[in-house]
Amino acid sequence: MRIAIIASLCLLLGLAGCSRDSRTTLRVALWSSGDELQINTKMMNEFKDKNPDINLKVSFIPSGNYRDKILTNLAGNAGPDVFLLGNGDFPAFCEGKVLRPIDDLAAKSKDFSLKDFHPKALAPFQRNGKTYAVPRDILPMSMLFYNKILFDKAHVAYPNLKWTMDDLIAAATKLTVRDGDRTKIYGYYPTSKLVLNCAYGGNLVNSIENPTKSTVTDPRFKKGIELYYNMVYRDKIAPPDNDSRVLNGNPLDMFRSGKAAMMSGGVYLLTFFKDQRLVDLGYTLIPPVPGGKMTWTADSGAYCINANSRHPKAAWRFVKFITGEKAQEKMAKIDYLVPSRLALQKKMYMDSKDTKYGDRKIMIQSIDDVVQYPYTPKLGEVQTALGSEIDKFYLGQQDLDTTLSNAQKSMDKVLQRK
Amino acid sequence: MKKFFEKVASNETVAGYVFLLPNFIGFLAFTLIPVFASLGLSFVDWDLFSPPKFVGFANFVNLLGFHRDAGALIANDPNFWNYLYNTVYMMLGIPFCIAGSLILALAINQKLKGIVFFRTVLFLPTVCSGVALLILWKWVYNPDYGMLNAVLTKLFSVMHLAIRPPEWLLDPRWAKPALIIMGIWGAVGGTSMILYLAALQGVPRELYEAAEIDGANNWRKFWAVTVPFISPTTFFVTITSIIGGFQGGFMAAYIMTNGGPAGSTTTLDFYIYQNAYTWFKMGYAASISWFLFLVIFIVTLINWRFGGKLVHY
Repeated sequence: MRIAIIASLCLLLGLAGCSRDSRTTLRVALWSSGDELQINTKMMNEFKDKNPDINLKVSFIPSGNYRDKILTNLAGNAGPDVFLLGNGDFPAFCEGKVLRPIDDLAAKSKDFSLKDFHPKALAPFQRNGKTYAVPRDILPMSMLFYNKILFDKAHVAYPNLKWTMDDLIAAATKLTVRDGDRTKIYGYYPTSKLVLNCAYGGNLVNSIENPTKSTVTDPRFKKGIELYYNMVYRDKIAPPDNDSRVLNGNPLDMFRSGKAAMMSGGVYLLTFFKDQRLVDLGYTLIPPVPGGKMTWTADSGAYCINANSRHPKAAWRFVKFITGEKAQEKMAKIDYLVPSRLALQKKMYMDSKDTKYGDRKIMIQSIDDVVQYPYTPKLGEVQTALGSEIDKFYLGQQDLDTTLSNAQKSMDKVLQRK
Repeated sequence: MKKFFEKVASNETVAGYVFLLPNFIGFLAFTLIPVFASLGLSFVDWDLFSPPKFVGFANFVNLLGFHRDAGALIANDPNFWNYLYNTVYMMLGIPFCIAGSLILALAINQKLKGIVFFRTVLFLPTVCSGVALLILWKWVYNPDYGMLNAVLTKLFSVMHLAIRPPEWLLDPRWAKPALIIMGIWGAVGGTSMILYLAALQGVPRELYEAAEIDGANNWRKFWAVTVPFISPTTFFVTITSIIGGFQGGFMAAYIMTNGGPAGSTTTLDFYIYQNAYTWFKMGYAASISWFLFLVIFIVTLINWRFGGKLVHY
């Protein structure tokens, strides 16, 4: 007993005198799992070998609570020097003034130029002429995946780039298989209903960077809501969406188990079709409404430097390394993480062989039509305000005009709050 | 130095405090200080990035206040009252949970062969991972492929009833009852049952014998001996269930419904989370927490004042 107490006291005192390291300690945080984690770990080790003067400390944080964790660390003044940031979270972090602009560092570096990156990949991380992060990838949410097995069975021609939304609806109607009240196979699973809601050119709010008003009562947005409503609730060719009511499993599970003939989503979903027996995969782009032009958003991760970092130079060395050509090429070896560097996009998507599922080039082409999404810090609240009204319309408790005008009011209230 | 440590170590009072210290430091750092910090937070506007801004009672006014709009009195935050209603609604399951736990405890208190097996089975939901159970229930409630509707459809067709089973989590009218049913399933075999089991085994046998001599049947024995004797446990279980009820609903909303459809499964617990970690409104989230604390405190006081009278010894 006595020994235990002495030991614990010594331990407590001992903790006070930690060992010292003369190297610069650089703390890095990113989300990572699976194949990505392995490649990232290898790259971190490579950086350590090449930069013996930097003591690199890496935290891999599960993506589920990534933002919470980074935020609380930053609030406690214990944020990492460098961290990976999604384009969806960027505006809040940027307005919160926790990011260090990198333009001066980039200008001084001979081995780095922002011109090497696709402008659509950089755009989400730029504000007022300043660049706050260096993107590692750009993943357009533009793909329409289809299961050839189900198309052949229903004798429907495969989707192609000439399709319009009407063709998609006609095909989905033929592909839908019902058994009494139940739907056994859905023709289409629109992973993001917002892509459809905005198909006629409508949008949630009046500005991408500084939204002040909701624009959901705009007739174009209303038509987009009707497009989705007709598919899911009137014609029942698509299952209810995945936001507030994921009951039918996620889109990927349904598509992979042959319960949905088409699915839309990001290019990275291609990764999940390695060993599929129920799916003979093909892909093209989500078709536009007749006479319209389809636009889509993209997911993108970028490395940024903490504004309070005490080692911006070391941090910059790391950012250059991890978003450099070699590192991106390694990352892009994991299928379909489209690199943000133009040269690599050309090498790996324009000039290289097509995938076994289809034309590789269209993934890159769709990047040119990417639009920014109004990721304001209030977006979540705005979407919840819209979502809980629109649920009432979908469930037949309220007509669409009342719904949209109610939604607009509550969205405006959120947007106009100081 | 060694002498100093030996002297300290031989002092029992010091030893006592040293043993208490790790727990106390933990309590201080992760409970007590954050609790008071959150009280401070409820008077500020803070998005985690910029320094907190003192706003006085503005958060509470936004939360609880009303304003006039074209002559009608409208809540500043109508969602909050809706979610408070949801929270109280979900607590309708509590009496069923308590009665169910008692019935199960009575059942597994019988001296039967293999009773240990049944005790284990009934306790299983409590030791299983909550997330796994919620995902399981999500599939059970699936209107198209779910087990529950498959059974109900068969049942209705056998009975020649032309009713469609409800769409459960898709339907705002059924989503809350669905979560209540799930809650009862998880709770009846849980800690309340264990507490009841312990209480039942503490009822002196002599009392039952005395009652039998007086000619009491089993039913009478249950009401006249068992129920009064386990009343402290009932009291404890009721209070903790009500407290838990006010604080509940986060997991189900987070994993199963995201608070929908039409906000019908958002409880105050989930609303606090949304405000704090989805919308960066730390001050507002803290003010909801403190309002919730106040409600729980008052309800518990009422319970103590009036419920306490029903405890028989």
